[in-house]
Amino acid sequence: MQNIEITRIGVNIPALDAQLRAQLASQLYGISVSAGKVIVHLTDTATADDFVTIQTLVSEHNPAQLTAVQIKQKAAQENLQTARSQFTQSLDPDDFRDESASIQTLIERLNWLENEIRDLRGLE
Amino acid sequence: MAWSTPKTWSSEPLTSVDLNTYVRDNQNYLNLRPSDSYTLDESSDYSTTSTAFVDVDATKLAFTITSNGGDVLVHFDGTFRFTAGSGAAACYLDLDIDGSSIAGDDGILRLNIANVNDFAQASFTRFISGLSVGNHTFKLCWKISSGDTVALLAGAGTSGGDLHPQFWVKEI
Repeated sequence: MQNIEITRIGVNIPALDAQLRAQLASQLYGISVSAGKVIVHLTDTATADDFVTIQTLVSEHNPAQLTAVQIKQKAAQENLQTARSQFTQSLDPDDFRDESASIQTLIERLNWLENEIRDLRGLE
Repeated sequence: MAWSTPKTWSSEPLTSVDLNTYVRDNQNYLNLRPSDSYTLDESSDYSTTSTAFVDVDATKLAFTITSNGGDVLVHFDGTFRFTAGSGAAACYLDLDIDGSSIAGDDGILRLNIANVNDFAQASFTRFISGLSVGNHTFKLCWKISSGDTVALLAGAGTSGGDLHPQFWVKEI
């Protein structure tokens, strides 16, 4: 194994790992990050040219650039926050008195589930 | 200072040389067992994506002791967090002694961390025998499952995870 240690503050670890793997998939075991440094773990077959590639990728790494998974997670969280801000009031069963018994039962169960989730989240 | 096999006494003068060798020096040997330790309280936690065993910290979690050829205990305790990835993460721990894995294969123990942001605790004490007299270096190593990122919480002020792992070595 070969290790390259590079001083670097501010790292989006999954994104940097993905960038390095895109260039060095067969040579890369992974990266370790702590205390202002990045250590890149490479196989014994990694070459001097690979080292140059790594130095460039690490120095030019933009931690604000998200991976596809991070973008998806961020969008899901934003959608959740939007829904939470939209649906602030529970369903009023009285609004559904003219509906079928099945619908009224469904409303009661939705309110029950909502209360359970609020309790799990520690909300009042 | 080395251990001297206790003498079988017979009817003979009690000399200062023998007393110093078999009483003083042997008691000092028992009292001053080689050891080293470190408790983490760092400015940042440690993270890795490595799928092969690598040092957690080649400086702070690495000790060199001068062994007298006795047995050695090595201990680690700490809390890990699955910080990025999908599905469940596996985190493996191992010891490197003088450049070689003590356990081989997938190491000493495996943590299964079910979901991103979950925590998992690890603690082990390993009995090492058969070391030669002289210097030996002990290092804590880890690797994780492909595609995941795992952190060792190291007293960096992480909310709900400002924790302080310890790694130590002691000849017994």
